[in-house]
Parts: sequence; structure tokens; C-alpha cells
Amino acid sequence: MFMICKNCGVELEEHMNYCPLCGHPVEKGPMKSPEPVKVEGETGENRTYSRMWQLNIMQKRKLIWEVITLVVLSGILAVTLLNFIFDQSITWSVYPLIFGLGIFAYASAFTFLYGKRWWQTLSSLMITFLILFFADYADARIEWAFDLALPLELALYITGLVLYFAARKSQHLGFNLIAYVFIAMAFLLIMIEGILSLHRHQYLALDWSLIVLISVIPVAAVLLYIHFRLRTNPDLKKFFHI
Amino acid sequence: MEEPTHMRQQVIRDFWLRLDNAAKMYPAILNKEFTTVFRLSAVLKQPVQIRPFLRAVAQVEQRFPYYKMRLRRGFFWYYLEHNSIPVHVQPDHGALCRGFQKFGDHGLLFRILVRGGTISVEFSHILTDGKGALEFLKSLLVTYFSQTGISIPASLGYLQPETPISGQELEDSFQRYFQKDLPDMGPMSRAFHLPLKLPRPATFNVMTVSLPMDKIKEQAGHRRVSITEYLISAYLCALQRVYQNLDRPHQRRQNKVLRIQVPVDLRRIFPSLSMRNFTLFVLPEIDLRLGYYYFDEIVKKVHHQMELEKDKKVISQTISRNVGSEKDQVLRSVPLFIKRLILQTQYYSRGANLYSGELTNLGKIDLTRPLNDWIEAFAFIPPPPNRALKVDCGVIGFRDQLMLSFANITRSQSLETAFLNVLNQDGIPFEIRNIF
Repeated sequence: MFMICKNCGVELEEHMNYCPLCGHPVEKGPMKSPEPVKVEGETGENRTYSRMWQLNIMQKRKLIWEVITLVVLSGILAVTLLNFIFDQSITWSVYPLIFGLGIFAYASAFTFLYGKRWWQTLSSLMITFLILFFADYADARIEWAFDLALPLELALYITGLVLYFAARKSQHLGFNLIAYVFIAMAFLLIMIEGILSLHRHQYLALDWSLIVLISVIPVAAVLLYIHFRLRTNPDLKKFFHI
Repeated sequence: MEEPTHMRQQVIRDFWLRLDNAAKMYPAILNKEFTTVFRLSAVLKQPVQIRPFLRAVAQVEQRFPYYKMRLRRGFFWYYLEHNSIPVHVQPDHGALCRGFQKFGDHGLLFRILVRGGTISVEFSHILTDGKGALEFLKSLLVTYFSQTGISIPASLGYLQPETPISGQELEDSFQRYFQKDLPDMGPMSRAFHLPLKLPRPATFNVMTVSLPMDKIKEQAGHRRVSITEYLISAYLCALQRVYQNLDRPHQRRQNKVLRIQVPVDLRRIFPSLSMRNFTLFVLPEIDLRLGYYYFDEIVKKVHHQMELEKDKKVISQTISRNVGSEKDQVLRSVPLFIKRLILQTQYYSRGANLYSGELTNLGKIDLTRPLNDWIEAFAFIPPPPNRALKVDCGVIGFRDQLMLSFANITRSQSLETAFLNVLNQDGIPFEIRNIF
């Protein structure tokens, strides 16, 4: 005995509750509920293992921080002592001291602010500026920390952040990343030239950076075109077959 | 034994194909209405047994990996990329020859549809021609019958699922038979087009008619012409009647050349196992400026034109022109978005504007005795005609009947009526069928 689907008219087998073609339910007796679908994936055990693995990473990070701290602080101490022994005062060792403390601060920020990207970024910005400020302060002949170092550093960080968000926003990274880097570099150069121009002439004059921007835009446009055509298909041979 | 299977799957997964010469045009011109999708249907005497049918589909789709492709845009050309997703058999809701959907059809360019006892396959012309689709349908039907327990005669020729795939099945045979430096063909005048209004929103209607094979054979044999030539003559005669029925001002505005585009399976002329497009057209015509043509005059003219145009050297000249354009260095190096515009213009200037109608005869299907008994009829719906053509016709024969399907994008059936009147006046009865 066979049954016919009332919706699409095909012949069904006796045990079928639904038509496999159109999904129309077969009208007969109580229907069986479909079996739960088994999905292969991450089990609870795996997740526990995963957390353990993260904990180990943290431990490793702390270990690396301790090693860096030990090496940097001992290096600073040794260099400062040598400077003091030979010159009876602290002179040239100020620079290794500043950069050594800077490395220690970076290591501390990236170890203890792990996972807090905004805080890491902000602290690295501050640490970099402090390094540059103290380096400027140590050399009293010229002042450049606030006029040049701070705006250039801000320009670099802003460019980096924009690039980071553009890359994060992209679902697939490929040629588009190169295009974004090109565009970001061009804008960074504009900012650098602008800052230098303001510092030297007290007015804004852009020259070579604009030429760089105009040259970079067509290249970036071609790279973006290639990327969006190749997004799910990285095989250049088939894409460019002529 | 695991490794070769794995390797074979890897090769299949990564493979891609350039579009064949005939298909190169289609992606540029297709749209929601002009889909380039045609349908082949087998009407069985019993409802389809769905479980064995799904098993048959699973077997057959492995045999035709070169049809499991999706269309991709390259920088210079479109190309086909293999899509390994299993074919999803769809219930047939009666929408005919609709365009392929990115999600609904999983990006594939063919679909299998079932309703009651009717099994249909719809193919985009980008993939293959009628011959390729017919071979696929034959394999599907025979495998299905085999799954239902019907014994398959050993002598039956079809592409069995377990047989290895020949490399020649994937080839673009136009490239193989391309000859350099053949002289170009002369220009062709524009042809008469049915003066029918195109409705908005667009419509697509199909009228299917069955004719007795013996009567057609008798009438064609009586005039010593083939069935195709006989039907082309009836088509031209019908177009002439449509022209005659126009009032004078309309007649003056129309081109006077009536020309039918008739696809010719080149595998019969040039040896080829290709399962992709390998078809060219012959264009029999009558020129109404020379006066009124009686039916017998048309039959005679069509017969001789067909004989002349199916000549191997003339066909080679057409292949040379078509493939030569594809090989043109300037055209090749033009980016696709510009090339699309060129191809769209060329399609109408070198194609659609030059003919008044299209008739495709896929020939007579024979699955031999035990299997033929399970099948009631075959039908073939040609792709929706373009806006200039408005109506086209597909023909397929099975047992003692010839099935004609008129695909029409207008609301008028004047051509179909004129066509059937021509046949009727020649003593051929017809029956309108409700298959779709």
C-alpha cells in the first residue's frame, strides 16, 4: 500500500510522516516528533580545557613580565652605577634609565591590562609620551616634546586606531588590508607634513604629502576592487583568466 | 583505496571552467525575464516514488560534476566554479523557466523539479544545450527506474552513474574545431518581428500541443523533407499569415524578411563528446518582397537552405567567426563591466534582430521497450524568448507523438493559432495538452 502527497502528488512510503520533497505532513495517526539533531562541536570538557589553557597563558605572561622586569631593572641599576662610578654623577645613564623604565611600563601594562584593549592603548600612548617627554627634559638644549612629539604621536595613534577598526570591520582580510594601509600611510604623511609645517613656519602648507595621497588612491582603488571580487575566491588564475 | 577517492574529491572541489563560446554571451544579456533557462520534462504513467527518486538524484549528480557549477564574475570574463552542495530536488509549483536564485537554487544553474508523475529538469544555457540536458534527464530517468526495481536493458545507451567521467565531456568543442583565417560572413538584413505588445508586468505563457507522429512523417515524407524542415516551413507560413493580416501602414513599417533560427546539434557534424554547449544556428528564410509564398514553395526553399547551411564548411565559417571574436586581443583585454555592454549590443545587432522566430527540435527520445512503457510523454520548453522575438517553439518526439511547446511573453496567441491552422489545413490534427 502506498500513499500520495496531497501537496506535490509524489508517492510516499508507509513509514513517512512528512513528504521528503515538499515537507507537507502526511495525514495519518499520531505523528512522531523529529529526532533531536546531534551537533558536533565544543563539549563542556573542551571548554574547561580551554579555560585552563587561558590560565596557563596568563601565568606565562606573568613569568615573561618578571623576567623582563628583572633584566630591565638590573640593567638600569648596573648602567646607573657604572655612570656614577666613572663620572661621580648621573649623566648619560639617564637615557637608558628612561627607556628601561619605559620598557618596564610597557611590559606591566600589557601583562596586567591583558584583554582590556582600550586601557592598553591609552596606557601605551601615555607611556610613549612620557618616554619622549623625559628624553626631551633630559636634554635641555631644545624643546620638542609638546610641539612635535605629542602631535606626531597622536597622529600615529589615530592612524593606527582607524586602521585597526577598518581591519576589524572587514569580514575578510586580503588585498583590502594593503589598500587600507596605503590610505592610512598617505593620511599619516599629510598629518606629519602639516605638523612639521606648523612647527617650522607657523602656518599650514602641504606639498609632497598630497602627491603621495594622489598616487596612492588609484592603487588602493584597484586593490579594493580586486579584494571585493576575490572575497570568497582567492584563486587569481580563474579570476583573471583572459 | 581511500586516497584516490579523496584526491578525486579534491580535484572536483577546486575545478572551474571557462564559459564555452556559445555561453559567453548569456550572462551579459540575461535578466529576470530573459532567463536563458529551458525545461525538459518526462511525464510518467505513475506518480514518482520519492525515496527511489532521491536516491537516483544522489547517484546521478555525482556523474555530472560539470553541471554542479555556479556562475562567477572574473575581471575579464565570467567563469563557472564547482559547487559541491548536494542537489536539492524542488517541488514543481508551476513556475516555468525562471531565473536561478543565489539562495533558492544554492547558486546552481540547473534544477530538478517533481510534481505527481512529472519529472522536470531546468538548465541555464550557460551550462549546456538541449542535448546535454537531455542526456542528464535520460540518466536520471534510467537510474530512477533501476532504483524502483525495473530491469534496464543492457543495450540502452546512457551515461551510467558508475562510469568514469571523460575529459572530453567538459571540453569546449568550439575551440577544438576553430579554424583560423576563414573569411568573414557577410552582413545579414534585419528580420520581421511579431508586432505584439509586451505586457507589464511581464508574463510568460506556454502552450503545449501534441501532434500524431505518423501524420507528420507522412506529410514530410510526401515532400521529401525532414520533420524539422516541415515544421520550420509551417512556422514561416504562420509568420507570413501574421504579416498578411497586418494593415498596410503596419506592413510598410515591418521588415519583409521572415527568418527562423534553428539550432543544429554540431555533434552530428563534428565528432564530440562534449556535454556543454555545442550548437550553432542555421537561418532559413523567405523574403516577402519577392511575393507571396505557398506552403509547398516554403517547404522546398527551407529544405534547400537547410541542406546548404548545414554544410560542414559553412558551419566552420560560423565557428571561426564566433570563436574569432572571443580570441580578439582587444576584446579579451577589456574589463568585464565594459565587455558586458559590448556583448549586449552585439546580441541584438548580430543576433536577435536578425530572426523572426526560433524552433528547436530535440529529436525523438527512445529509452527502449520496457522503459518506454512507463513513460507517457516528454516535453521541451525553450527558454523565454527575448523582447524582439516574443515567441519561440520547442519540439520533442516520443513514441507516436510529437510535442510542441510555444513559449510566449505576450498575451496574444496569434502566431500559435496561425501555426496550428497551417498544420490543420495540411491534414494534421492536434491536441492541446495541459502538462505544466
